[in-house]
Amino acid sequence: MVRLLGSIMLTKRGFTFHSLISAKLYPRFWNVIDVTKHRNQIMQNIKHSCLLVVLMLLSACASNVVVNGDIPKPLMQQLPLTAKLNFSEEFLNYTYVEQDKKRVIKSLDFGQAQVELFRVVFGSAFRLSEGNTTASDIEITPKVLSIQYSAPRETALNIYEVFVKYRITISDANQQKLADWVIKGYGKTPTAFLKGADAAFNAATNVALRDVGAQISIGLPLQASIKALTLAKSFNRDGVSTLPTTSPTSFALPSTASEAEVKAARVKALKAALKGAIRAEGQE
Amino acid sequence: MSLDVIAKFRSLIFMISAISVGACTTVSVDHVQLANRIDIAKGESIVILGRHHSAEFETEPSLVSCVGDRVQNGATKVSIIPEKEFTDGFYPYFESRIAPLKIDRLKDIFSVPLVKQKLQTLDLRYMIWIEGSTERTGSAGSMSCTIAPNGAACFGFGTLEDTSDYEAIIWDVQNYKEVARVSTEAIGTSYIPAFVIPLPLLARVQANACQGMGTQLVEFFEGESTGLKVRPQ
Repeated sequence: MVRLLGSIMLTKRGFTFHSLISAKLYPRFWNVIDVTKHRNQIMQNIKHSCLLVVLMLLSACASNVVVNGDIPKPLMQQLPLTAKLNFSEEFLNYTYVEQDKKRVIKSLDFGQAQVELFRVVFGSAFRLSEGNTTASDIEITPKVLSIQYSAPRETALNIYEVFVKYRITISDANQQKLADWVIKGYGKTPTAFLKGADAAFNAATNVALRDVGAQISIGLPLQASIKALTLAKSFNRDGVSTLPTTSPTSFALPSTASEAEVKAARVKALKAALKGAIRAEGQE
Repeated sequence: MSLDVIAKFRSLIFMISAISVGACTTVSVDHVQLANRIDIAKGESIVILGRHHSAEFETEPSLVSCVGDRVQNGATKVSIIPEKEFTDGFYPYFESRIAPLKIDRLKDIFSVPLVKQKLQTLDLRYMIWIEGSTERTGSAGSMSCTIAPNGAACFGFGTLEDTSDYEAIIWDVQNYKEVARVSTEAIGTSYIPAFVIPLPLLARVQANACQGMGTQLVEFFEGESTGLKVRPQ
């Protein structure tokens, strides 16, 4: 409502943004003077005023936003698998840099927040293997595919929005790809309860990351390859699945069977379970 | 009479008339009770959650916490679980994409063993979903501002009209039934006269909608009129 657009008028006390009110109607108020007589004073006033305007405009903008992660631990049953998280350097330090100078933010740094997200979510789903020496059943590699955002001044909506897209590649211990999963997270937050654009983008990005975490938590145990691996891993030495939720499944082995025989039987059961899971998913 | 005195007199009249008009809000509250009684025992708890699934609106967390405070203050035997504490505790089941829109889906979520186990520690009886938002529905007038090293000044007059439209749906989570609905609509106009200094007379539309909704919810849980009145602010 406050209109700062319009003609700029030079006065003895500075310069004036003038929109609707005519100086001719209010000569005493606007105090219009001859520019040539007070040139130095006016130039100084212009400099001060420009500085003030720039400071005001800068204070209204978000610049470099650093997202503080706020991801709770998901309420999910841990699967009997060991997972290793592979974060690339680019992923660990991911910062979206805005190329368009007219847009609201210069950069959005959420590398730390997304690493926390994947650690919390996959840490609840699996036992995480630390370091390079520990063996793991699966390896998980997340990658940022794209990020988009919008601010109220761009959309005329009263909300800040963040949209983030990830590709999550899951491979087994032999680097065989098991799943390639694209997940999109969307977060929005109203402007009313937030004081600045920085806080709004921080909140909206957190909502988007929570959305990604929610989809992983719900969808991961339903992935065919994860189901099959979980089932295969759940067979104990006696060939009986220890999973509480799966139907009784077993492979017969004599009690004198060697470790190698148990391992071979596990691989066989894994292949059968994989086939069954893929077939079941196809039927769904 | 000099021009200065006339100008001062005019500005005084302008200020007095602006203040006397004041900001006003009209609130209307409708409710439907679908169960004969909405019982709650001492120690049982309620959670109030905002709907965030729609792209068209975003239920403000400030409104949800305001209604929660209002119910907590009005209904003494009710214990309110804060929205963030609940959604974090049951993450990811109450995130915008996954949260149940129908009560049958809530039954499915509450049958998940880990959720069921956590639920037993809370003694949760009712879940209240609030849907809606406060939007600017109109504005008029204009204002000019002057910025100078010696100071700043504004001149003009503007009005803003805000509308709050919220609906609260109460679910009985023990019997898996919807027991009541409360709709609140508040319309308010704010006035911003400015003569050197802007003097905003803001209508607290969302706060009044919160009061109206909170008062009605308190009446549900207390079982009778509590004497709490909606006071326009």
